[in-house]
Amino acid sequence: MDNNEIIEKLHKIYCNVLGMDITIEDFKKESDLAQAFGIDSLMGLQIIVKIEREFDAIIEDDDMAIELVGSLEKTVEFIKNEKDRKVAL
Amino acid sequence: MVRGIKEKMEVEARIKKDMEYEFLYGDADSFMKHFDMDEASKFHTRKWFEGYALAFERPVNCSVEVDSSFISSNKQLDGVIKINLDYLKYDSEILLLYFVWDIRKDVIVCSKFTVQNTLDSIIHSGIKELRLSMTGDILEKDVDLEDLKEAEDPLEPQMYARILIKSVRYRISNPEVNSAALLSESMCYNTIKLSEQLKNTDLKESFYALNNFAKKYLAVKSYLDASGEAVTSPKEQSLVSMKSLDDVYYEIKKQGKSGVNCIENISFYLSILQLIGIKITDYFVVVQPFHFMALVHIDEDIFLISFNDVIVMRKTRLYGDSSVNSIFNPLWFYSLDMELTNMSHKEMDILKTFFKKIPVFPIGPIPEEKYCTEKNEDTLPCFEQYESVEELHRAIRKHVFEKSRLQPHSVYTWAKYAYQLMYVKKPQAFVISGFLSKKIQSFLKKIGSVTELIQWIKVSIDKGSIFPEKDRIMTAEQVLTHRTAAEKDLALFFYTILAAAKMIETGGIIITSDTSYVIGLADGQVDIWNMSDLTEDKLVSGQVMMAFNEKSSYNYYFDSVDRLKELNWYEEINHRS
Repeated sequence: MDNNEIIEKLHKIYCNVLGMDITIEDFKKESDLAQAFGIDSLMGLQIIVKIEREFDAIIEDDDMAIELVGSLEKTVEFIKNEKDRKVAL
Repeated sequence: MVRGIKEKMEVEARIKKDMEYEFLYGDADSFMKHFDMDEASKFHTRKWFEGYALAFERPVNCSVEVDSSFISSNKQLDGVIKINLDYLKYDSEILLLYFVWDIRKDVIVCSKFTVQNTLDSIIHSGIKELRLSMTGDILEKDVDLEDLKEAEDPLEPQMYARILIKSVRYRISNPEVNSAALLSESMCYNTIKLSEQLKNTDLKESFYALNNFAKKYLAVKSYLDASGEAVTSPKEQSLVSMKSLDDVYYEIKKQGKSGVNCIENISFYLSILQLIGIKITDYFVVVQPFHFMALVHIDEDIFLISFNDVIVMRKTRLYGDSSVNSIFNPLWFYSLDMELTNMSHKEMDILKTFFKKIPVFPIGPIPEEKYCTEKNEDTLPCFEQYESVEELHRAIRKHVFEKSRLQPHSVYTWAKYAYQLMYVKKPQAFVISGFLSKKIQSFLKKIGSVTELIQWIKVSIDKGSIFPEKDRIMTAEQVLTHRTAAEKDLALFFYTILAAAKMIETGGIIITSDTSYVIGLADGQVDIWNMSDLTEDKLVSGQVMMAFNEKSSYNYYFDSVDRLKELNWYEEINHRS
């Protein structure tokens, strides 16, 4: 799965949880998604669990979860690392 | 004093006027202006108001009575607001709002709400008294290993660790946790023993007896964090570990009562009702934002259980919070949040038929492709088929282990971990759950060295497990909470602390036919701690039955001895010898 595919799936998750129609351009350009789209803790939790399911990932650390919800770049990197970890297993 | 009484009457009159206005004309924001509480309390209070004033129908009539008295500091009033509501299409309701009013701030700072017509008002006599009699160790018996040996347990241990924590966070992310945790409670010897007292009586009378028992022994508590402080935000609440019923029984034995939250409370009711014969199709848990409540169909009635309040629901009866995030029972789950289910269309029809009787709880749709196509229908062993506690205990364990082998991705596999059975394929989960525990993380700050840990254990931890079943293992958090442990439980606790605090580089737990050990490797040195007396040994004695840490495991019954040799930390012991 390349970066674009990951971003597209993440975009879909955010739109679904937030109930908003965000363009993919706006989604990609924001450096702090939580602030830009007003993501509260309950929404953040929903986003995290959907990311886990969609990408077969495990996100345990809550501080990391907060960072991921806000940063597209970090989330993409995390997902790719998770895939590599699973391959190594 | 006259001034005080006059002030009290003025406040009461104002509360009456404001409450009547809000229920008849107000919105949620204007209602909430009368409250100044923590985030979690405000969240629930808002939901309660919306349920009775906005969600379905505005009341056509509202009359309020206020009865209060000064708290000794004279700056607060505490009392009860009785709110009489009449509707056009729905039944009249009398709400009770117990409150503390801060006179200086002119707001309610603490509240609890309920309805007047709960089960208490149903007069019944001759209800059987339940006795909680804890049993000692169950004699070692042959564990039926074939099913366990052939089981797959396909998920990563980090996933199974989630069911040992059972927090709201994990219940949302993995709806299997809800079902499997409830299923595991019916497997517990103590729960079966308690249920035995209720068998052969009328189901409704059994339910009343359960309610009496719960009111006597289960105290409703707010969420507490690792240090015992009340957690006041929904985010914090989502991370708190939940108890199993064996934790509850142990607390009742030691303290006379156990503090439980909503999930723990209804788990008690439902696991016992399941064992005395209520059908899978006749009860469901409704998951709401940070609240769990249960609906149980007995004879012609549907009972709603929320904490120890039980009300009889009807088609035309409203309820404070009618939101539905997900629904589950021990075998089925349907999560609207996550759009996940393990139910087939046929089972969904059963669910819809049940909820047609209480339309205030709407069940939203999930995408078609999420439905399970396999036939999931099942029943669980109960006292209708078995005479004795031992027979039913054996049967329900056998049932779950067998189903786990046949359906490795099902709730049955998760239930083995929730039951804390030692003989699972991924015992790494037990260690990982300790790392995830907020209580353990808080404890780490108090211990600076292995010596300190050993001294603390010698002073603080009694011998003995909270489980009567010898093939179950306590988590590190349970050892810390209850201050008691069998040797294998102590080994898990000891290793978890050493590893989490990075007092060792690697190591693990070894359970032998003689006792249990913890191995620690640091700075080229190997230490072997014997859990029977917390001294250091040169070698382990006895047949190695299990060896594991957070990354790998060996089990005498499942694995060849080559597997043991693959564990690097274990091999260090042999090099040393």
